[in-house]
Amino acid sequence: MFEFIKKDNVGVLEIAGRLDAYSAPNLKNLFKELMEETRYFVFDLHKMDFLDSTGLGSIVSCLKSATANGGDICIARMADKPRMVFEITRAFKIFEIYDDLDAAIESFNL
Amino acid sequence: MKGLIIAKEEPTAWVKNYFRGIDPYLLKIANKPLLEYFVDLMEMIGIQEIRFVYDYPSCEINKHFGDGTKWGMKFSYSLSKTEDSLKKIYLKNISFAKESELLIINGYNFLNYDKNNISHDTLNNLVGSTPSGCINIVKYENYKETLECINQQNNELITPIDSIQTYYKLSMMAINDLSNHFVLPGYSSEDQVFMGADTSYPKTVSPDKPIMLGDHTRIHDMVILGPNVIIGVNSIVDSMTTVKDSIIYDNTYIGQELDIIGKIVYKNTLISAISGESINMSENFLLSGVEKKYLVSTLQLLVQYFMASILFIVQLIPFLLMSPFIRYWEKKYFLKKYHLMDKSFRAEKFCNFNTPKKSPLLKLFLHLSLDKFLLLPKFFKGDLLLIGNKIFEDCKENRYIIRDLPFYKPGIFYYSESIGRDFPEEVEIHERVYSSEPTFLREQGIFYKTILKRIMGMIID
Repeated sequence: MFEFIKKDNVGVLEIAGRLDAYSAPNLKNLFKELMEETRYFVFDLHKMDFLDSTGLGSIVSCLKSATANGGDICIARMADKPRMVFEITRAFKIFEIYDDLDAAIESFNL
Repeated sequence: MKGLIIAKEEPTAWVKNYFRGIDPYLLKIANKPLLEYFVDLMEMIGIQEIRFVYDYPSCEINKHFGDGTKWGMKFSYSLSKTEDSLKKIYLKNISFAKESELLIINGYNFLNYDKNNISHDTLNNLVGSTPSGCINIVKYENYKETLECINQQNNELITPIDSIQTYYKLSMMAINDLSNHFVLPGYSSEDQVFMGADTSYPKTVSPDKPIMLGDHTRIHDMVILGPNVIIGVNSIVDSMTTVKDSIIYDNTYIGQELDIIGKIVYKNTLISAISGESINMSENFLLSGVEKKYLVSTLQLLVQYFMASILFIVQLIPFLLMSPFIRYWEKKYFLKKYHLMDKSFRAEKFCNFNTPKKSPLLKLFLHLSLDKFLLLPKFFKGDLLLIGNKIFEDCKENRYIIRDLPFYKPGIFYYSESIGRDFPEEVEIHERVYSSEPTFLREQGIFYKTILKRIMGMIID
């Protein structure tokens, strides 16, 4: 469900499938470990087909941890269903959302 | 070529003062949503793919246009931040933009194009900017320069829709001088007469053109209609009324023997097209909205009464048995706090037992949901719902959250508790999700899941 690679000092975390109450704690735990590798992340959501409010809560929680650590998170290639959750919850106002993975990585300008 | 339509919320603030509940970019000018004018233009120059970008929650745009099949085009959607520059929006949509030349329509503007004279060359005449946005044609190779120089140009073919007066003026222009410039809804063999589907007027009505009537509109006997009248879909104009130089928006009822001249009418709001002053009419026989009756809401409430009654009967004896301890707990663990009861921030002081568990007896009290029993009188009094939004404590942060919610009707049972995520950092997200679709089934789920979760907690403990 989670795949992680590092590109130009930016961590790219691909989240596939469902991010809900069951998988959200896994994301939080994994993110704690990944924070030791880098401070800047792109969450690639093109394979995500379900996101609920708890899943979104875990992404917001990751963002809080990242910014507290002097880093940031961008979202890339968001599919339609997660986009609607970002929209109704206004979470898009706190994330930079790109439709291209490279553009999202470059946005950190490291 | 592809199309990028950028809908920013900031220049539309005035729309909310007059047309509550309407997405500003779907506000109708001559019975046609603004964005459809843009889509028409793009379609006429041969664009097949359009992306809508917006910086505010606008499910309505997505719902209205869908995937574009209805238009024979391909539509996609993306979100941006309010502070994003045009260049940043371009970069955020680079995957869409870089493959071909891009026509960008940005901001809350009306475009005076002519459908009879559309080509790539005439399109260049539309390029320009206004205080609320711009029209631009961008190639990936030189997007940096193109996006920067646009701010210096002006163009009289682009009109910022910045006030109710401009809105009125543009609407009237659309059915008068410019009626042949656009694809307008309605049909008639007569010039400047636009009739919607399933709409007709009695023989005793003598219309004076230009007039535009929306679908399913009813005009009663002896109405004086026009000139310069736009009546939206599903609207009713009652007998002996005069309507001239006015816009009657969708789903509006106009009563008998009234003079509507130089006005915009939206449901029960009467707006002067000249001064912009508006008044709300409380008398339904004069003006009102023509809307579906809220049968479902009434049914939901009845079911809530039934469930609350059952809950009351089931919990009464356990509650009475534990009541001697409640006063002790109240003193020891819980303080009465002000809670917000509605969107106008009416606050009431009471103890909400949603706090960390302490003694085994208190745990049992909470596992049996007896804390909810304490709030039942507020439901029967009509102050709270049985199932609704979370009851927020009165503080600055919570007021900010409530102000932004589509509605706030606090309930004894609420969504975030039912999914076991009643954490302060997530509460806003859950409340927005609940507010987006408070369906009957979801509400039932909230009630039963909360009770079950608490009982299951007792077994685990």
